[in-house]
Amino acid sequence: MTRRRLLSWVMLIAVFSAGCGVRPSGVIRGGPAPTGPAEGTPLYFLTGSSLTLVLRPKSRPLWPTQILTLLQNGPTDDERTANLTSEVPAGLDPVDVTTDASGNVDVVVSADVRTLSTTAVDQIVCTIRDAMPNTAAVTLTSGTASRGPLSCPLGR
Amino acid sequence: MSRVLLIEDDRAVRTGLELALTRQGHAVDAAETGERGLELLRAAPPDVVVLDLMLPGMDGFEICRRIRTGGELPIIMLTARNDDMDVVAGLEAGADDYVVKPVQPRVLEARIRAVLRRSGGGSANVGPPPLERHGGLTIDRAALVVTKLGAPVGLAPTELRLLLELSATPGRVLSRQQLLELVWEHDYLGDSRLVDACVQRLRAKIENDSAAPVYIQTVRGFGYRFGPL
Amino acid sequence: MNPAARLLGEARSLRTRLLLAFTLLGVSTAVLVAGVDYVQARDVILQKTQDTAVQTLTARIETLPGLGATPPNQAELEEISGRLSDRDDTAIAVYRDRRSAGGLDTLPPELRAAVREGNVVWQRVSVAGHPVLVIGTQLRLTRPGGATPLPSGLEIYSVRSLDPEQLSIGRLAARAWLTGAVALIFAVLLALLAGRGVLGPVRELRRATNRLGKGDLTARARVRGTDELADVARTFNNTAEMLERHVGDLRRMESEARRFVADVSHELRTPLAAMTAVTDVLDDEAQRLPGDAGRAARLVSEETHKLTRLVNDLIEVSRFDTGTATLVLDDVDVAEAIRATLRARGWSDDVETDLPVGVVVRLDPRRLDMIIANLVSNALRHGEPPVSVRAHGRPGRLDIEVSDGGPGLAPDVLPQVFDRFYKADTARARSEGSGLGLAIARENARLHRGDLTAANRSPAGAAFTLHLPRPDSEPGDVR
Repeated sequence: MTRRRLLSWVMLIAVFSAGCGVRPSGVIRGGPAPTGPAEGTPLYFLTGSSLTLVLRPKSRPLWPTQILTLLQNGPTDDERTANLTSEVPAGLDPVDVTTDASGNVDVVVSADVRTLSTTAVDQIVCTIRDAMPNTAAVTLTSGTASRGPLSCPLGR
Repeated sequence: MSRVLLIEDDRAVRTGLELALTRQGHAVDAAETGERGLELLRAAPPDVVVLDLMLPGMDGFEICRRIRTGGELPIIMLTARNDDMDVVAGLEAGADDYVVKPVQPRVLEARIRAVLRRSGGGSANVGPPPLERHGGLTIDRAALVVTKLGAPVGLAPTELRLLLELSATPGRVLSRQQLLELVWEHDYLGDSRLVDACVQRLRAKIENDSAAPVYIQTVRGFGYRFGPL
Repeated sequence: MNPAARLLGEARSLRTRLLLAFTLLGVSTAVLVAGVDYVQARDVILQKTQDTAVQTLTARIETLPGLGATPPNQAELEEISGRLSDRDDTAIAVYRDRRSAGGLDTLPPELRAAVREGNVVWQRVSVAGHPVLVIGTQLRLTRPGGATPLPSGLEIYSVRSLDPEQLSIGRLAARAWLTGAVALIFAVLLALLAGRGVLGPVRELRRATNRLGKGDLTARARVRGTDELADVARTFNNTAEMLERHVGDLRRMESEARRFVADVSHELRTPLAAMTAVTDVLDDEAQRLPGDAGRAARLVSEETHKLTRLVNDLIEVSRFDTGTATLVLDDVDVAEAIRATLRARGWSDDVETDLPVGVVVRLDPRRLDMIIANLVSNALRHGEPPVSVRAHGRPGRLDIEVSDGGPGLAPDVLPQVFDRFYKADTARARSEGSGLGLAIARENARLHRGDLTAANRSPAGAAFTLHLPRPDSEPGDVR
């Protein structure tokens, strides 16, 4: 048999055997991930410096101020072992959360809003957004100072 | 003075040979055809026949055979070529010897004398007792008569001479060349086929089975030998 | 021929080439078709399995009860994975560095990385030699806030063995191989069939050609069908027929030529016979004839002899030419024959001999005589004494050398000395011989399957050597 013919045979066999069987593959991408309802109370803590959604078991509906109080209390021990942190000061002491007809929410807190880090502000804004339906923008007020109107950087 | 019957169709050759033979002292009868030759044979019986093979009408071989059946007349063939066919056929038809045309007259003369010696006169060997018995064969050297189991065997002069030569020294091997010199008196370089043809004819007459000869035996590579019985 | 070369020769034969071509064609086609089919089928099977698995997982995830709290503890993770697993699929719930047990020990890192992009992803991996499908996805949360779903941090992975699929695909592959094998057998049969159709006529042609080559001019090839091979066979037959006819013509011409030679010889010899018959008469009467007539008579007599010799020589030569010369063989004692030759011509005293005793060779004595006589007469006439004849018998050979004492053959003469009518000394316009003596001598030697050679001896003189084969002789054999 000539060498050329031999080579073509070998190639054929190689191709054939290469395509045989179930071979490992790379990552194949499909549709969007499934969703489910969030039963618990959404809070926003931090993993590093990024906002992370965390749920707290909900036994009864909570007022927004109560939710903010949960926020200012920071992550639980369990959450802390999962590397969750918070920049919301413990002395936030929400006073009142009001909303108007067009979805602008005003959050009045005791702590000076000017001392809050942007990350903390984001935490509060996002938490408030999730706590209250149809939130358009959130403004933080403490006394005369205010920050906002702000919207949550995570989602809509 | 011996009588020669010459049968030759070519006028010039016939005239020439007749002339030459006459000068040698023979009485010559010349015939142009085989038939005329047979006529002359009956009219004036010759001592020897010189016969050309290429004849018009009845061919030389046939004439030869006829003459042979008639008696023990010696026949010398005249042939224009010495290739196998004619010579062998002629020898089988019974010729004693042959010469090739053109033939020197002295050669023809020598052959004629030799063959005449074979037919007439006593044997060349003197000495052994005239009557010899070899198996079923009896040879009378004086009377030149051979009998087989009592019945006389008709042999041509050359055949007889060959038998006499061989049986004179039983058991001795004689080569063909030797036999040609002894029997045919060819001075040298005779045609060995003459010997073979004569042996063949001789065997046909004296042997019980020519294929398994007892008297005249062939010794391959050497020649012929009489016996041993 | 060594077996490898023979095998290679076989491999290049027409049948093998046909076989290989058909087989290659058949098998490659079958392989191609079956291969493509197989690949497609395999992809379809896998895709179907994968899509089904993904859909099942997604549906199941969506039937999960709403997530109460994150991060889930180990028990919660186990519960989730338990809900999502079934007999075929093992689900793993992962929250950051916490995960449920079971399934795979290590999740493929690139899959984990892809999962964080927010899509359902999957990957086929090999675990302990078995193919395994790993599906991975996040669980996203929809919040009453109407915002877009956000990753909950919970990742679900599903591990499923693809062994059943492997089996089905394996069966597909086997079927593809089987198809190939069947195609191979079929191709071989077809090839043999086609081969027979082609090779049959080719072999027939070869056989006819062989027979023709061996000399059977009646060989013909059978013409079958109407294709190119039939044309070739027909052409062959026509050619063979023409050849047969031509050779027949040539043979007829040859036999006519021979008959012509025979006729000519007869014609020439008859008048010569008449003339020769009376040369003796002329010789005898010549001395009695007056003056000129006597000389004339002698002249005619001499010339008649010469003419006879010349005609005899010519006829000898023509017999060699037409191939009608035959050997009349006899067992001849070489020494005796040579001595007889010398004696007959009266040369016994002039020639020295050195002859072996008892060496008998089967040859034609007349022709041997002609050769020796010619060589010795040449030596005596053209050479200086001593002229000698030496015969030497060897196993399988007999060499007879006739030599003289000088002057030998000139170098330009040597190669032509055996040519017909070649006379070395042109001064002797017409010598005794006809000019054919040596040519005839050599033909006679060759008729015996021997040869005649000429050479110069040192210090002087020429030597002509006759070589004759002795097929029956053995070493030490006196015969």
